[in-house]
Amino acid sequence: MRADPPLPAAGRLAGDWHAMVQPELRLVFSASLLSVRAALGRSLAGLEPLCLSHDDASSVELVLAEVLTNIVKHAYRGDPGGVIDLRIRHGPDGTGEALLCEVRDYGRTFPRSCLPGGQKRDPDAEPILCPEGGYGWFLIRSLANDLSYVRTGGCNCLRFRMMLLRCRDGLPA
Amino acid sequence: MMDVTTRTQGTMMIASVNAARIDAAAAVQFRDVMQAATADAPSRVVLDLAQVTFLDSSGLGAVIGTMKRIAPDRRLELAALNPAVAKVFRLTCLDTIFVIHESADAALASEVPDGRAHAC
Repeated sequence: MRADPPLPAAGRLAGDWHAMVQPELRLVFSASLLSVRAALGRSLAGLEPLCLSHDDASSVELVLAEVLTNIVKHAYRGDPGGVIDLRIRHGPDGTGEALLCEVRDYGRTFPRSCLPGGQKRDPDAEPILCPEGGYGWFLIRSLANDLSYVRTGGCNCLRFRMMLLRCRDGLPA
Repeated sequence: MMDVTTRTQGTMMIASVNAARIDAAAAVQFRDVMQAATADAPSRVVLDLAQVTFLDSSGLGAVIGTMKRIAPDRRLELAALNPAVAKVFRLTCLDTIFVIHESADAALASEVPDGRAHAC
C-alpha cells in the first residue's frame, strides 16, 4: 500500500497551479465609487492565496478599477441603485496562467455597442494641452487580453484575461 | 478623506499627499485640496506621492488638471512614485511631461530640475 504524498507546505502552493484549484471569486455590489474601492480590496484579498507578484497584482487592481469605475460613471451614470457582478477565475493559459475576469451590469450599453479605444499622450502635443481624461480604456487595453463585450437582454457582459507574469519584482520570470 | 501637507523652501513647495489612493472616489477631493494648497505656491510645486500606492486614470486626470491649473506661472513636478503609480504614468507616456524626482528630499536638493525626456 502506497502512502499518500505529503501535502506541500502552504508557501509552496503558490507556484503550482495544479495544486490549488481556486474556487471562483464572485463579488456582487452596488454601483458606487466607494463600493468599487471596497470591492477592489476584497478582490485583491481573495487573490492573496495566489501570491501574485506586486506587478501582476497592481495591473489586476488597475484594470478592475478602470472597468468598474466606468460602469459606475457611464453604465449607471452615478445611480447607486445599480448592481455590479464580478467573477474572477484562475487557470492555466497557454504555457502560463491567467485570471479570467467577467463583469456584468444592467446599465446602459456602450455607445454604438463598441468598446472604446482610449488614448495615451500624444507625444507631439504640448503638455499643457494634454487631456485630463480618456486614459482608462487605454490602460485596460494595455494590460488586459482578449477583451470581449456582449449585450444580452439588458445585461452588459465584459470578459477579459489578465496574464500572470509571475516574475518576482526586479527579477526576470 | 484626502489631505495634503505642504512645506515651502525658497522657490519650491513640497505637497505630500497623505492618502494611499488617488482613485475615482478621491479624485475630486484631491483636485479641490490641491487647488487650495497651491493658491499661493512658489514657482515649483513638487507633488510627493510616497504614500500613494494606487492611482487610476481618474487620479491621473486630477494630477494633469492640477498641472494645468497652476501653469504657466508654476510648474508641477512629481516625487517618490511607487511602482504601481509609476506604471500608470509610464503606460500613458505622461511620465514624459513631468520632472520626476526619486524623493521629496531629492527634489529639495535639486537646484535645477533634471528633465527626464525619453522617446515614447
